[in-house]
Amino acid sequence: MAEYARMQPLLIAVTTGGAGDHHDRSPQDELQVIRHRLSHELGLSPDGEGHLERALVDTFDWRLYRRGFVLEHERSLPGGAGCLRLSPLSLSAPVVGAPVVGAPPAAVGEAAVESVPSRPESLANVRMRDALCELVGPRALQPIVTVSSRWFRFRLLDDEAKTVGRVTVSDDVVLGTAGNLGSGRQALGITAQVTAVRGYPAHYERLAASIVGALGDQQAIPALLRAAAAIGREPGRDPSAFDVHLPADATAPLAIRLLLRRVSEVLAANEPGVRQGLDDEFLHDYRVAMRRGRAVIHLAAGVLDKADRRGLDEELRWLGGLTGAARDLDVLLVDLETDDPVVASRRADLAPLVQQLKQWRNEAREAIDAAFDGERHRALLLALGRLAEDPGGLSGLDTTDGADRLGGNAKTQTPAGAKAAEHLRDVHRSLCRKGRSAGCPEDWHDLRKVAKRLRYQLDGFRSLAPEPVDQALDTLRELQTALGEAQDRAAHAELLHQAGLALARSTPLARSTPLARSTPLARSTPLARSTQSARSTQIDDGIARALLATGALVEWHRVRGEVALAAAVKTFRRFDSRGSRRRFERLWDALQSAADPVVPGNSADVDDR
Amino acid sequence: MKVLAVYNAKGGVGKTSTVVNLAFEATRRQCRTLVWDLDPQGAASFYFRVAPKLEGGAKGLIRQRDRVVDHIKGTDFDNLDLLPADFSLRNFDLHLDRAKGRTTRVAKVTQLLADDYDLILMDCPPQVSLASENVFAAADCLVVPLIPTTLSLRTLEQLDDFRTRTKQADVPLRCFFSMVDGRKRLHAEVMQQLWAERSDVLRSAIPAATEIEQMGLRRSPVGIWAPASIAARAYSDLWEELTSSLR
Repeated sequence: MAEYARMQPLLIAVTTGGAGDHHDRSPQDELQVIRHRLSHELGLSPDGEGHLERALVDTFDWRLYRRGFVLEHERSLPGGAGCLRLSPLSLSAPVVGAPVVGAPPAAVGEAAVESVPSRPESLANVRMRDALCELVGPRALQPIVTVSSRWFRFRLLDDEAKTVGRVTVSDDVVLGTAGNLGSGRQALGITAQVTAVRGYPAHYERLAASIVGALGDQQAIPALLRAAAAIGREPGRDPSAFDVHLPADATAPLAIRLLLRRVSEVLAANEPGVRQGLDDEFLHDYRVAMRRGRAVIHLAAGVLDKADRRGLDEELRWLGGLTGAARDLDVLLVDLETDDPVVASRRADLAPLVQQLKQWRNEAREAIDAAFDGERHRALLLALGRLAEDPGGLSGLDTTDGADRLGGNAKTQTPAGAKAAEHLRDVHRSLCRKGRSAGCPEDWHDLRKVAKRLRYQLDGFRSLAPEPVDQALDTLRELQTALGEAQDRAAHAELLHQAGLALARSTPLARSTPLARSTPLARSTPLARSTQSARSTQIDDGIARALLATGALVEWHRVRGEVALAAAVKTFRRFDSRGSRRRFERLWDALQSAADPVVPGNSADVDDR
Repeated sequence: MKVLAVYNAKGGVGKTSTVVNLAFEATRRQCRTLVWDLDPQGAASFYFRVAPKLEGGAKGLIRQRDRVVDHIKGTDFDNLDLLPADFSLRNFDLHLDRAKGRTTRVAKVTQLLADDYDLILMDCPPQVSLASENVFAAADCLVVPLIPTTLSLRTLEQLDDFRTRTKQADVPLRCFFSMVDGRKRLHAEVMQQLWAERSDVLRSAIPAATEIEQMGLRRSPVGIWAPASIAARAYSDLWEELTSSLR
């Protein structure tokens, strides 16, 4: 392990300078100087050169990078074959964005592919395919940025003329985002990478020292990651993350503004992915952002004008309704691909039903696209953006000196943490009360919505008291997951029921006979069959099997829904336990005192209250 | 990970050149490959310009198998590593005989490398021994080069017999003809006979070529310095047929 760590590739930004006029050198001249140094001063042997076009590939939320991998699609120019390469991030090199987890060596590999596949399932390299499937989950792969690299390589030879170390020099230029090459040519500079040959650590160390002496000692970030940063992407940062940092002394209007700004950013970041249908998570994240938006607006009483709040909430609810059908269908279609024996054993029979659901999903997505192109959606985003960016959009905000602080009434001068604690404490109490009196599934569904809102609202104040907020979020997530399972089952059962009815109505048989019209299943009865032509009977058999399978699935989901609801009730009891409520009380206190100056005895005072 | 052992109890049939060239073909196809030179003569190590030396010798390899990664050397080629030979491998049988699980020690070493490589190619010494039994236990397939002569046929029969006696007859076998001289009628006749009799004899054959003899001078696979030669193409075809026959 020690040897592996020592032998991580060393990447340095080349500075051939020192005294002289090196700043005036063109990249070509600079490369000549480097070649000369490597060859004549360090005695290295040339080992090839070329021109590559490389694309950094990852999911929208950087799942590969965050697990310590870099996936790149590489093509030699001119006209070379494409290759997808998964390699571990060099842990010794500085990285941007979120910290990475060390990558296991087993997952690295290469696969010959002409273009970047949106899903890894088609890769011929089985090990790499399996690793990528596990790493990216449901998300699509997409090229993030493309770089042109002119490179040459030198090697260090031992007495047997064997390669014992390598240096690759690369001059990299950003070509632009994957779909927009040439949009932003930007030189990234020249780098030199020293790579060890396994089993020759001493040679590597000597070579690395020589290269640092000859070409500079400034470690560089890998070119593809720098390129991503150059086009405004931050490797490792999930564009959908609600990671708002509120200053400890933030006032309520400032907090609302920052939270709405983030909502606005997340909606904008996910919209292209929703339109293109790259993967289901874009729509999911879009909807989460929208709900967060509503949760923030509910927090903004006394900060935002009542009419503004009501209007914005109404419009976001409209957007929620508009996108809900497609999301429900996404979830159901994924569920119909599971390996659960109940589903798997009926998969063939369910094909017409799946077809029906996919058609509905397409229609639902078309409706979303149309709405996105419409005036109402544009106006909503503008209103959100205005409130997020324009201090004048928030009532009571003093903008005379350009500062983001409240003037005006005392209510809005209250620190955001205290204001949030006051509101969230009420929501939490109401949640507990609702749960205690909940009886029918609808009550629990309402409870789930309140729990979700509380979670989203609380999430916005994480930066004020990270540890207690995280604990509370875990508790809320547990409750929400339990309630969500029950809700998903109920939603699946209902959707399947509807799809089954639609399927029955769509068959020729159903349209042709009163008996068949009266009940879809009647088409499979001997009486119905006997009155139909052979061709109709053939169609009917397929539909009948689909309907029977659908009925079984509907029942299965209902039973599982009841089981899930019983489990959710138990989860709620834990959530409503004295210990849990006490933890929430401590959380409200922590939020309340977030902006207080640290004084001895402060915490004791809080406890006394 | 697949383990292929290039084996023949008879010497001078082209085992090492097969290992070196197949390893190169595998690497060209993005396969992370390790060549394990089990022959104390260290010819594969020589071809890859690596000193035939194992710290702790063959005994260390058996006793401290978890340190095997420390013995591995990179070669001139990306994704191609070598576990070098050592002269002490001449006593490999003795060390294996003294160890627990005497017939599975090599397999235990290869299992440790499963995450690091897609393919391990073993260059086996020409002998029938405990080391051979170990190799058979570790291998997913035995790749047997045969010179198309009557003596080779006899060796193949002996190999079948040995595998049966050691209860390792279920290890797949893939034979191919090596050092084929197209001008010799005997070669053609033996090849036809064996193709007719056995289903595990591949159609790809390696010719007796000057390029293969020159490998000793050049110390690198034929595909590097004579990529268009008949020999290089023959190894490429052999790799394709071998891997597709194992799918």
